[in-house]
Amino acid sequence: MNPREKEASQSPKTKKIELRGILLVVPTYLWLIVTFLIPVISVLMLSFAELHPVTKNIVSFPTMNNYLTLFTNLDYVVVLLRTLLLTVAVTISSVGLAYAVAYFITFKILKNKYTILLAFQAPYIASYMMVLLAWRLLLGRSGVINSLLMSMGLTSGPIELLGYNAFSVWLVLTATWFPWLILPIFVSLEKIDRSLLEASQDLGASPFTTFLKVTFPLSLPGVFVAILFVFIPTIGEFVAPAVVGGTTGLMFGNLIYDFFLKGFRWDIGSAFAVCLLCIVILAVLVLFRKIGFEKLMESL
Amino acid sequence: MKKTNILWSIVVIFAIILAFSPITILFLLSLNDSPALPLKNFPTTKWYEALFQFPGAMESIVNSLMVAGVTTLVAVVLGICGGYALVRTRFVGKSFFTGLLLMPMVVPYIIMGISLLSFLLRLGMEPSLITIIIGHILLAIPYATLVLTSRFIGFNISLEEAAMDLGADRLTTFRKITLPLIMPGIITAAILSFIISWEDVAMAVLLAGSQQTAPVFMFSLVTKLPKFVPILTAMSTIMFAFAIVLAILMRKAERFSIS
Amino acid sequence: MKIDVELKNVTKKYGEIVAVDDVSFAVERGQFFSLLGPSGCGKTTTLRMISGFETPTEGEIFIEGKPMTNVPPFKRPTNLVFQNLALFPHMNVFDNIAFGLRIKKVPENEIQKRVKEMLELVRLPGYEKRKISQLSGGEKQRIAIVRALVNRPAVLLLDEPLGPLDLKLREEMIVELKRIKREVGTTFIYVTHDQGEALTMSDKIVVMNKGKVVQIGTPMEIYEKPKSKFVADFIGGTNFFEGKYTDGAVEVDGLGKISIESGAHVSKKTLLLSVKPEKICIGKKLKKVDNIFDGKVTESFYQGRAITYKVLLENDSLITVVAPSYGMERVFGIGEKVKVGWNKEDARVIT
Ligand SMILES: Nc1ncnc2c1ncn2[C@@H]1O[C@H](COP(=O)(O)OP(=O)(O)OP(=O)(O)O)[C@@H](O)[C@H]1O
Ligand SMILES: [Mg+2]
Repeated sequence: MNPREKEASQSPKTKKIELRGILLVVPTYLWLIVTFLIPVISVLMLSFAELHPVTKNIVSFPTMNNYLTLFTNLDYVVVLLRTLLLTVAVTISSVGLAYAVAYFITFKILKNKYTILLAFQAPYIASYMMVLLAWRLLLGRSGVINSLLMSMGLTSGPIELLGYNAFSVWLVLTATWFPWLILPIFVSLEKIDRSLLEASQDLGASPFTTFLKVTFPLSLPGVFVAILFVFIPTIGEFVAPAVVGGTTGLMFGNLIYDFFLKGFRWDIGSAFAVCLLCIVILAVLVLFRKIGFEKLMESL
Repeated sequence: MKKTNILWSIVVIFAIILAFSPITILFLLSLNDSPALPLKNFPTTKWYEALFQFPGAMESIVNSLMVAGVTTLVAVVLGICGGYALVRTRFVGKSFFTGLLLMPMVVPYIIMGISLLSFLLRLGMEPSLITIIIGHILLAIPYATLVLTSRFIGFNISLEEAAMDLGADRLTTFRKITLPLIMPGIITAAILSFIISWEDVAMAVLLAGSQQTAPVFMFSLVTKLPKFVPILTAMSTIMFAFAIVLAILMRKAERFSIS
Repeated sequence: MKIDVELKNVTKKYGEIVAVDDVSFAVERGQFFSLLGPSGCGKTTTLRMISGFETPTEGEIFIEGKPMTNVPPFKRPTNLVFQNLALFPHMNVFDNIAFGLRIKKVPENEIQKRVKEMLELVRLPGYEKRKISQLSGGEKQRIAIVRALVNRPAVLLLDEPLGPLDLKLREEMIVELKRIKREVGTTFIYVTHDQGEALTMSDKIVVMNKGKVVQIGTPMEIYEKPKSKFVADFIGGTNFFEGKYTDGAVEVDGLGKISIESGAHVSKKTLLLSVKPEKICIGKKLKKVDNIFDGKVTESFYQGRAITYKVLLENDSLITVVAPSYGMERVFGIGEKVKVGWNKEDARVIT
């Protein structure tokens, strides 16, 4: 505690400042507590309860039944595994592609770097839904791509891979996310002192070794931010699978959605949500540990 | 050297195609006879005409504007208060507050959405535009507050003291000195909040009742009435044009407030 | 004489840190009054208490005879020129200067007139429409000063306004400030850590150290008759000699006797003497000087107007000598044997 802070608890004038501070944060505080903290905690509680399907009254508490439902039903486990797999795949491919583009912009382009950077964000001025819609039309057994290929006589029948399925979900999520990830990676690449790279080559390292031993490690903060950016929304995704996933591309988020909005089984849905939250927390903790919270916030 | 250059070109061109082709094609299709290539009867405005006839379509755009407008207003006001408090004052539990503030940024929308939904339903609230607004404000608060916090950090307090020294009371000082100087931050926060709300499908889908925002309208049409999807090409093109106009206007305002 | 500002036993504590410790002084109307002291001695804190941004922990401040406790900054008849100037970046020069007048709802044509007068006062006519970012350092300084002055405060407070300027500009601004002061006649309280500035401009100086007032006096008194070791050293630097007093002279170990003026200090046994560097003459042979000692030059700095020598005396103490370059035969080299000396009245006894 520095002397200035110590003073806070003493003189009447700074008491006033403290009061003003509290008054100013009260609305935000309340908002966060009422619309975020309490609801999330109540979902946590709900996941250990059994609700009456109609009245929503608590029938029994605590119970692990909701979690058992999840882990004993093979269908659910498959969806969970698919979600994890898809999330990891999307994270790798979108971060990888974003890294390539960011690297290209940083080191291969000399003029108008920032214009190019900005251009990559432009399609998303529109909206997420618009991009999904575009992909919906492009993909599908009789979508734009398949029908174009067939009318040109390149394939005799529709390419199944380009139908509405898990592959499409992966493709669409990668395509939607990677442009957002270019910026944080670009920032951390741009920060690297060029003389370090020259020094490395001067010491006899090949360009590839230089990349592996110098450039890449130094750009890791940006990469971690990018991973965080794409991982969290992807693992909770339910909109893209609903639009381009067909029946085989559904994700865990769709299950939660159905339990809450279609089946009205809040208790089971809550257990699913808590599982998802645990995975997210775990991932965030691992990332934070890897790089340190401070550094991560810095590169945000 | 040559070989790596070719490799780079392929990767970058692939990235550009992946990022830009979908919406370009969407735009072309909105003026096409059917949602398929090659183009036929191009250009035609039939989907735009159909869109204006379609029940609920234009309404949902108006709803989106309203929701985004209210969200922006509330988030910016809360952001100014929060940013000021975080930078200029001390209060117990400041670090708890900061942690709580950042948390919504790392929790998936689906979890926040269903939590909020079940909570609001339990309180007896019916899903409506208001519930969407409540959710969107939650999404926008962290960003608005962070932007304004950094603006306040860069703010030299002696400017305010100078105004008071020259005879201005607290209110006048805020109006004439503080507000104009944090204006760029306010505009950035407003742009961010607006986009967050305008873009959002996930939260809105979870919290929407019978009144829908534009993305929710599009989502429910795609998933429930796929044969009407072509009119959405027209709708999203209109929204895109609208968003670009808005973005340009706001940039202008930002420039203006900085100079 | 009317007293414009008076501090009575003012103390300011930040937690355990005592920034200002039992400070009392009175500033007369029309005075150019300086607060002088090293960095961190509490000058800014004192000034901020006078202008109302800090409240004293103890003691009271009077301005024009009225107690200022509970009077907020915007109701005090003082105006402050900030250490970092604090010109409003989103307003042009005119709007900056007119700010205070507009708050007071002075009629617009009167504002026009007064701003114009002020710009003429600082010799920047026609600068009304300039943006703050288009001003040079010295111009900013002047605008900041007239932004405060235009309100016709009873007291103008200035917090190291020349701090960031380079040497030449600083000297110009010192002349400028003196002229402005003469023309407007307002009471000035000027904060600085630069003794040169304080000595040149002030009618009266308060020297502060570690939150306390150590001496109050005219520039001449402060310089010529320092009452403490701190003041003697802080103002212009000095050479100290310590020794036992025996009839009319101080016996310094290893050096010999230094004769001093007979005064009232003789009651003490050990005395501390201060001899200012420029009061010491240096040469191969010295005549008509009361105290003469042998020494060896260890360093010499040629500075144009003067030459500064470091001279090692026989008792192994190093003294500083500043010799004017006027009438000088040559610069003594390092290692050269010289004689140094001073007259009795230039050795000041520090009590
Ligand atoms: N708000 C504060 N909280 C705690 N300590 C403070 C505060 N303001 C000043 N101090 C301390 O009080 C002492 C006096 O500070 P002050 O700013 O008055 O010095 P100063 O004489 O103006 O120095 P400088 O020449 O560097 O401007 C310093 O030790 C400083 O650290
Ligand atoms: Mg100071």
